[in-house]
Amino acid sequence: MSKYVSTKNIAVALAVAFALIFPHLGFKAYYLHIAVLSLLNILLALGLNLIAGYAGQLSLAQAGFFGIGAYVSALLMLNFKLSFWLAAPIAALCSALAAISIGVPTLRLKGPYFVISTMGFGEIVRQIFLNWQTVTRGPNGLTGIPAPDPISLGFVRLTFESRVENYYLILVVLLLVLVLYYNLVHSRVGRALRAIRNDYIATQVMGIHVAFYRILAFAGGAALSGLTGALYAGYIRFVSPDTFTTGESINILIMMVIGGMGTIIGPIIGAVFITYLLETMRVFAEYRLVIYGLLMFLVILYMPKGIAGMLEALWHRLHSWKKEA
Amino acid sequence: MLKCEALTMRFGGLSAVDNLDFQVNTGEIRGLIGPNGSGKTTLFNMISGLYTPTLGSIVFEGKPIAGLRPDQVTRVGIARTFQNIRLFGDMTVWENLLVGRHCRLRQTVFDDLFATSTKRREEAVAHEKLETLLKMFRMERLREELAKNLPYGSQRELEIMRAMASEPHLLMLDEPAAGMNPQETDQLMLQIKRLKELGFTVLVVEHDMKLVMSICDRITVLNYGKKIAEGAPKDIQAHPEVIRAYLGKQVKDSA
Amino acid sequence: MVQEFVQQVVNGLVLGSTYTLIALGLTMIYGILGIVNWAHSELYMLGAFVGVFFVVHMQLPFLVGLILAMIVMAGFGMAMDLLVFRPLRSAPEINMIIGTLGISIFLVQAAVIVFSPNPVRFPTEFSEAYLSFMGISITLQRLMVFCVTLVLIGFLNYFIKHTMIGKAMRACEQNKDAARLMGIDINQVSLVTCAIGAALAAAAGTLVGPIFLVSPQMGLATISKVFAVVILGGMGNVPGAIWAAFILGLAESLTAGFFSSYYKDVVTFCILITVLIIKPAGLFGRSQIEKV
Repeated sequence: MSKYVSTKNIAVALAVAFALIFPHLGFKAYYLHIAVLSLLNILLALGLNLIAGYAGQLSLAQAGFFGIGAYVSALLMLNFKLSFWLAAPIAALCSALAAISIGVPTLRLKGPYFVISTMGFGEIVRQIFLNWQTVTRGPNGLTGIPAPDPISLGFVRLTFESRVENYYLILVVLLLVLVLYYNLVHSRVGRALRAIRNDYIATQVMGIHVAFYRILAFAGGAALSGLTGALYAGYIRFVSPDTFTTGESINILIMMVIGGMGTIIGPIIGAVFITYLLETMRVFAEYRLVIYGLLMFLVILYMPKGIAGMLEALWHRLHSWKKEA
Repeated sequence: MLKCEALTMRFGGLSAVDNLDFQVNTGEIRGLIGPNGSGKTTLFNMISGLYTPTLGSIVFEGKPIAGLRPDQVTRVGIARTFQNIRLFGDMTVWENLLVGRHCRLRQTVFDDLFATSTKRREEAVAHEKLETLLKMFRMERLREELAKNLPYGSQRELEIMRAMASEPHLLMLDEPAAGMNPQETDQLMLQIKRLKELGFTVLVVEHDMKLVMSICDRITVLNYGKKIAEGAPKDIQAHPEVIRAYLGKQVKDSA
Repeated sequence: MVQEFVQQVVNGLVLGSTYTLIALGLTMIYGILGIVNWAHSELYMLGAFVGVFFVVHMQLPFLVGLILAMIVMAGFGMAMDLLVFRPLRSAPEINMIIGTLGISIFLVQAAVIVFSPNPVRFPTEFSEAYLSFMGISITLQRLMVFCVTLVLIGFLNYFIKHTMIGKAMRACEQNKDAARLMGIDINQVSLVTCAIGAALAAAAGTLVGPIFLVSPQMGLATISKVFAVVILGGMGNVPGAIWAAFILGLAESLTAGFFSSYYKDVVTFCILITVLIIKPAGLFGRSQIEKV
């Protein structure tokens, strides 16, 4: 068997194929909506994973960066008639710049100090959305955000007015992001981040500028969240401060932890799993949060690599059975 | 190669290192000994950039390095190990070595992001060099093991290998024989001698007198942050100040 | 104008007292046990609900209810030590934060289910009575918060300085391994620290509950402030926490009174972030050079 046709790669290919044909499988529109939200949450969880899972610094500011991306993109499109394809990267850049500006002073602080700073930042951002009424229209939010500008692919013209087109747009972005993410994680940058998480003092002595890589992870995760914000704004066509709360940051954290921090499939599994449960079990709202809280505690204590870790252990066990057979 | 002048490190009112003049010559194996608390690890930390000296200067291969960040010091060509092992426990042996080599890989973040040919080329070169390193220490079959699962002796060896991965000119070993049994210590002595043959300059802090006396070209003795003796092993063994500092026990044992 | 100022100072002292009682437990648990307890404010919230039970449902006098609530929550604190903190002792710090954050979510939602999803009123015999002089009025309840806090700080001080277990706690804070070698039972110290921390937080909940409303989310609103207090005072620093609590309490109420209540939280965080940038160990923290 060639090295490309391993079990893992087949599983990945199947998952991608499933994702590609999903809208045509006959599910109700509601489920397609959940699928879109899942994709967006995957991107957010991957963003958090970069700073928390790989670099080992917990951040509760993701919703803030998400919000910055959404508002910046929306405002550029509404007020300056900028094309989505220009507004979205600018929005991601703004989120990254915000991350750098609070990251530089705070990333050298110890764990809990940094977490509090990120919480503070997230709250400040939300207060700005809420109170800078002249620009953000406060609690009313921004309505009538245009969809991403149409593009012609020769034989077909995509207007992104429909849910399906948005789904594919976000899916394609996600797949591209995943390729880059994979490259980064399996490079010396990824190794440096993991080393920093293990022992940042020893890492410095290895010739690695710890502060630089921490900021890189933080800004990278923020850029990803900002981009997601732009995609979100183009899909829902409405943004308001309520979406970008610390509670939302905690939701993303729950997804990442239960799915498996510090891996690539972890955030994917976690985001899909939790988004699905969050949306379909609204009735049991109080109960599901009780379970998530307890689950997060138990997972981080006894199964730190989450569901992904469990699957990996299972796969190793199967693999060694096959070897013996 | 390395020259420290009037080096002082004060913590609050206490001088851990006091007005120290200290030199290491290229190509030698230099021992640094002294009772606990004499300032040996503080000196290491100052040279490797983890502490900024209160006073004094450190010059390495003609360039001043006092106050540089630790990663800058490593890039200049000084690598060190730690007294209590600081391996990257959740990473494999191979990955630990790759991290050790980080500063010699010359690709940029963009190369990593897009997996360009530059990145692949640099990693291939690193691959070769680290493969050689693994063979030298006969640890090839351990390359996929997590560092935290290794036996103690192998962990100590990995610490040294990781420091060598950045191809330093000066290798500083902080108590490499701590916790080793006599056979492991003998093997370590051979490996350190081999380091000298390979062209490394080595600065060793150690309490194991047998090791220090047999492999070091010269030895410096510290006490209360000051240098009390310096010279060839046989001179140190007979030095009255040194004997007094150690109360005579250990030094006599190895004579 | 002066009246307004004094009024806000009074409010600030009440706020400061509240933060003090909660922050003391948090900083002790960190200093002595090395655990970052993100669920600490939930002890405050649960204390309030337990207070409601004793005073409102069982019609006991307020002070009796207060003491009972402290005792009950001290027990709860010990349970938390056994079930949550002991397993987390050896975990990396980020896992500790995530784990206790999970417990925080769990406790809040459990309170919603067990007690009430909506805010609950907590009337006591002191709620209506108030003192007034020179145009300033202060309810007896608010006065009590401040006074009881001072009394509790006094007790804590005596306890830490003059009892055997208090000395053991201080030894653990200095150097856990040495303390263990000296024969100090870390587990016992652990239980006592958690019991005290929880009791103090519960006291805050019972004292403050009657002033505002008691709800499962009341802890969440304060956790970031309490952490800000602990960080500002230097993590593990008991007197530092007290100073920082009153400084931040006063800053918050003066900002709310004279500038805008929207931005009072922003001011708190800006103070915190500025201090941390200038002095990373906090106002009173000792900057520790990490041993290599």
